[in-house]
Amino acid sequence: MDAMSSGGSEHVGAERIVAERIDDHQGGDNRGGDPGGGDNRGGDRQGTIERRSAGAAMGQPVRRWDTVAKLRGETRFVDDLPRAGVLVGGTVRSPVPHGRLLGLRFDPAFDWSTVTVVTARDIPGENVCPIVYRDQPVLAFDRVRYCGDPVALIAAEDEETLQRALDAVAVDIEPLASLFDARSAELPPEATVVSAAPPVYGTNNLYRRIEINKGNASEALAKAAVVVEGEYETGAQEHLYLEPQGMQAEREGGGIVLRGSMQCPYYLVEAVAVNLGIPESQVRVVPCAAGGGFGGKEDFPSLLAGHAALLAWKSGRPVRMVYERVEDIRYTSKRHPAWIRHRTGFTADGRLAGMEVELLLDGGAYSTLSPLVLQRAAVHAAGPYACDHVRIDARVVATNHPPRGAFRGFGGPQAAFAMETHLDRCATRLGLDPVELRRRNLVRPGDTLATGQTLGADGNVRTVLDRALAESRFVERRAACAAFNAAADTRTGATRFHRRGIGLSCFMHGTGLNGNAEGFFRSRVFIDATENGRFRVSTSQIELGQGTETIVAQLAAEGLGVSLDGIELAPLDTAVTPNSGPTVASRTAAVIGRLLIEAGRRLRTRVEQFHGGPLADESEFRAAAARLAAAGATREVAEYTPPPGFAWDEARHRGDAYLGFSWGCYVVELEVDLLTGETRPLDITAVQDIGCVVNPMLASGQVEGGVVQALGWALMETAVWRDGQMVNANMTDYVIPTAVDVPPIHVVFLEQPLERLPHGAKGLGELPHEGPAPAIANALRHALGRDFNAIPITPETILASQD
Amino acid sequence: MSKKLHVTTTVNGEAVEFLCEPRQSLLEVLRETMRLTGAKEGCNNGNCGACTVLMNGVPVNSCIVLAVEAEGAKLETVEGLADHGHLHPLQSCFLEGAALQCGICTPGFLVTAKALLDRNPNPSEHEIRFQLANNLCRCTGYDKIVRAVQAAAAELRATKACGAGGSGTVGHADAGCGGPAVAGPAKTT
Repeated sequence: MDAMSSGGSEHVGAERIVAERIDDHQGGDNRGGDPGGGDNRGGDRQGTIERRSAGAAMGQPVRRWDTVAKLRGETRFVDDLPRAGVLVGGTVRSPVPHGRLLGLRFDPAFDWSTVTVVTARDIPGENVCPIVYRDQPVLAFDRVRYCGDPVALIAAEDEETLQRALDAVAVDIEPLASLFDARSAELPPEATVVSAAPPVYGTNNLYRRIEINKGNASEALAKAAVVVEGEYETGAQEHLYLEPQGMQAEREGGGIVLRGSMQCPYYLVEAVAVNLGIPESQVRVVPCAAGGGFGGKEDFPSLLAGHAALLAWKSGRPVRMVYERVEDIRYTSKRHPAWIRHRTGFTADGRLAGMEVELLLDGGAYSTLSPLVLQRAAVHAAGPYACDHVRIDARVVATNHPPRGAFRGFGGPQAAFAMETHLDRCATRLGLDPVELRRRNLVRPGDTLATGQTLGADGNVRTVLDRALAESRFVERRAACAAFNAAADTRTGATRFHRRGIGLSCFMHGTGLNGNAEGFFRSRVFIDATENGRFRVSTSQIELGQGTETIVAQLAAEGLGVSLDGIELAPLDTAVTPNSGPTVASRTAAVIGRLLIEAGRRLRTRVEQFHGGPLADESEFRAAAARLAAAGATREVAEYTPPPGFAWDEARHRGDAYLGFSWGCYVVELEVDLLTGETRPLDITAVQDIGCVVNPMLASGQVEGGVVQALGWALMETAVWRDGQMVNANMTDYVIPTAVDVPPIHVVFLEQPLERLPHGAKGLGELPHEGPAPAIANALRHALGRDFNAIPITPETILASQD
Repeated sequence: MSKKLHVTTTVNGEAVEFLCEPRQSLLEVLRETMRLTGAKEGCNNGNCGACTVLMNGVPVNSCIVLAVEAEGAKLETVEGLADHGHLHPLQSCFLEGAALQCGICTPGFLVTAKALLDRNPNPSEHEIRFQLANNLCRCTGYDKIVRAVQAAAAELRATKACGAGGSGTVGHADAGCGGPAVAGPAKTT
């Protein structure tokens, strides 16, 4: 196949480079009924990725395991579960963004005996949705803090009855002054409450402040030859997973079972146990297939599960709550809007002397995951640059917007947009090429980041930059764009008004949960040998579309040293599958991958000990494993403990903020139409180092999808807020990229393995959301000669900038 | 509750009769009455395309088609795409090319692409992208979907050229023309 020569991998020095477009796919499908057949071991594929151990499937572009059922329309998502006997649940919400809840009035004309109603008084356990701070009630009881804050729940036999019942409830509220501007949200400590409105949160509306100090930034800035300042702003972004939030709850024995769409089944176990006042052992979570998440199904399903569980608990009937699209967009979380200010000092030769970054996030009405989003934003705020004097001051505040939450990148994209847009402006001030400015300042192995985390051998970011420049022919294309623009007046017709530009960004994304959080979760995975000579793998990692099932199987096969057809995945059910932590933070390939490899290796050793010697032949090995399984329990459990030397000081924000970092350099070439204001990306080059590519076909899918989602955030996705409510909460008015909005995306992976993990993998899922927006802003700056310091940059923005 | 109406239609080649209320959408009847849950409700507003089915060969958003409009129509859903266990070339090319992630939009993309290839066996990349623009995908970035449709078009043309099939549905494994079942997609230029 010709296509192979354009793909495959090549070896350059110590790193392995895996290019996109690997077009031969081998491997099986142990779930789908359409076995791929053939030899999993690859044959003579040109440019086959280097094997780390014989027989393993890691690094191969094997087929997705969940595909065939999805292609046949057979996959059961929560809304596809049988409806017979299941009540439908709905939510009574606050009609105002802030107020004192005086009471609920139930219209006596409605026959309330036909429905089940739950208010805060009906909650048998604690009225709290436990995420981080426990400030969010499951149902508001004294105050409402955002437009849509749930105040009561209703379950009915059918949608029509439910709607009539919802319409028959009046919510009595004494409105309070609302707070929508995050920039003026924080109250000074000595403030007495002047207005009638109490703070939205605590005494001063501040959810969290994080200060990171390295060296002495203010002194360094005072001495710097050049200081450049800038302010940057990013907007809210809706996840717009194609499957809305949905959950079904049903009493089972003395407890309850939840089925639905989620990223973190064990979050639900805790939340529902707290709400119902029952032990966690009485809460069983059986996730359905999930139709996308992007972070939007990290925290919100805990609230929705609480709601569905309360209705099922009171009614004694199964209850399903599936949000309509408008309800989903209005009342579920968004990416945090951010305001970021940089003051950056340089030496005369363009080296970073000192950096000050102030970062502010609008957290909305409840804290949800904001304290952790802030942490990631803060750690990423100074980018992948070497600087001895850094000060980062980051805050997330409360407003009367719906709660903001996790969204792919988790604060990182906001930080990267500001840093990388700022650097291009700095380059102009310094009279330096933006590429050269980055080259002089990017970290190298042995350098430290803002928290003092020392980079290992995988910290060579210049390699990523150089590869992106080469792949995109950056210098040549930049000259071509300039020539195109210079010749504008010589053209006739529409192209006379077209301008072209090219821009790039360098960025990073920390692998896994921040600091000590991975150690806190103590994630566990199981691998069992079975009597049929296969290996059964149990985790609680969710397949959201990103390919979790497939790579979990590949990583287990890697550890065991068997081919993929030796692996089965245990269906996810918290009654039996272990808590391997949440499916978030780009952690599955790296963190869970490590556990799968460890468990697999240990089980292999046990089988060989049982057999009495090494077993190189796979069929003999599997036969011995089957004999061992027949002889008794063979479960291997691997549990996460921090790697030796990993140290994070949470109080001071010093040390190892993450296990390691993925690095990226993205280049965007675009054309902008001065008459219509439209920006059309022409070509995107996405180069990243993720340590170890477990499945190149799925990995490139993550990059392509992430790039397009970020392209939407940068150029079109505008959440319009009026009185605290998103007014364009539908797919007509909130526009995301379609197939015609997307240019060719050239994806290249580099592999500089993370020394702390046995397979070297770093995170991938979130990384691609960090690079496109600043590269687009920089390309527009190149095209039009003006700064674009805020996104989204819509056609209206472009036209306004012309005036 | 209004009086129910009687509708006679064809679904995936089989004659089907159903009763529905005048207000009910075709999507609701497909999912609730016929239990064909392949078509998904993504927005219930005609925007996302997850509910796309073919009505007399034309892609429609079944969430904004009234069920009564299906009277006498020929309906095709994702459930009818495979032929006795053999995946349609579009399905096999989506499989080989990882042209799906979460899978909610996939049924809509598949039937939309089928309508395109039934009408135009050799569409340009632009035509494919334009035709698919009514179907939103938030996971893949579309590139792999476009390539899978190109590969399926090539496979269908090859099958037709050597006289096999003819129904538009060929077995995934019987690539009778020789050569790989999935052609290496051309690099986008």
